[in-house]
Amino acid sequence: MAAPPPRFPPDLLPVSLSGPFPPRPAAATRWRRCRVSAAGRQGDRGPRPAPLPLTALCLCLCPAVPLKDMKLLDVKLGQLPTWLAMRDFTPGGIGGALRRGYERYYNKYINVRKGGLGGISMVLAGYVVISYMWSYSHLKHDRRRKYH
Amino acid sequence: MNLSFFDQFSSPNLFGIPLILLSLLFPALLFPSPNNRWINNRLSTIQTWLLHLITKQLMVPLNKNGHKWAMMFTSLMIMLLTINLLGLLPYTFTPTTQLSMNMALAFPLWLATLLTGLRNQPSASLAHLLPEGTPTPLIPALILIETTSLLIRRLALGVRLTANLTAGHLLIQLISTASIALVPTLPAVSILTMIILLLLTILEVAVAMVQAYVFVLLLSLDLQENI
Repeated sequence: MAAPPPRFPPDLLPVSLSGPFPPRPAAATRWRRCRVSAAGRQGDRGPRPAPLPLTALCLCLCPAVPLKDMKLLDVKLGQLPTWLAMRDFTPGGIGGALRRGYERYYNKYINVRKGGLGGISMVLAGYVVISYMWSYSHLKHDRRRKYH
Repeated sequence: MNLSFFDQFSSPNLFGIPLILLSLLFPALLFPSPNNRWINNRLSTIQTWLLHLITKQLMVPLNKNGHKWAMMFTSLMIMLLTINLLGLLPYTFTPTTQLSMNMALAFPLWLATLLTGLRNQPSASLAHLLPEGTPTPLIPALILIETTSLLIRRLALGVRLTANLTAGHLLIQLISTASIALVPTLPAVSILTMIILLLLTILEVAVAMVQAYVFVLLLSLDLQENI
């Protein structure tokens, strides 16, 4: 049976209307909370979405994401030690985490159409701060020295 | 004891990890690998342009065999340029102020060019040791002199980079200390010193770039002779 053309964006499509095989959420988009119920939440920076027809309201299901895969900002404080213990600390896992962090920064600040000086300046400023921290034990002797 | 002027050249450690490791690996973060889009982001475009300019400049005097060294020379040039320029930021550590590192770069690369020349055209390489038009009695002495000068030139290659950068950093530190010390007593002289500091910083930026270029240029000249 052919799926009806969606009248609103596919990620707002509720699970029950998307046919026998609901779309797998991509790695980047996990269904953490319903768009519909989040529209009225406080602190929502975007404009309110247009009111949806009644058939779509409250039919969204939010499938539970396993704790291992949740993002850090979504983990509750009590779950934090468990979350830390379940993370992947093998060299491959750490390498993957570093690569993901690099890609996130790169795609947000540098790989854009009109990138500016800010993207690379932040990296250099971070490098200066890290160098200061690394050589602090040398530098602290210079503070009260009379003749340098 | 003015130990603290030279403290900037000692390699700082944190929990046993030397900062030189971070300083050597950090330039790799600043050069993203270009993807195969037609129009890249601005950083990649500027870096690709620079890379093409450098490669063209270096490869023009070399023959076909010398073009195999293109990646080696270009990456060496980019690395030296980046390391020298990053060393001008406050509190950073410049690995090229360490003589050990510069000699480790200069000697093996020069030796490689020399051995390539000896292997491919041995008589022509040995003939470089004797200039044309030498009077016959002087030939033995001159060969010794030329061999020594060949070795010394390579020593100078490494030492030149070290000395220029070290001297520049030291001068910056001295003049900035002087200008800070003069501010409470003679503010006008302090302003004059700060202007000198500004000019010196501009000079240092230029020196950083030029030294990298000179290093690689001399190596490529060696290659030109020997290949």
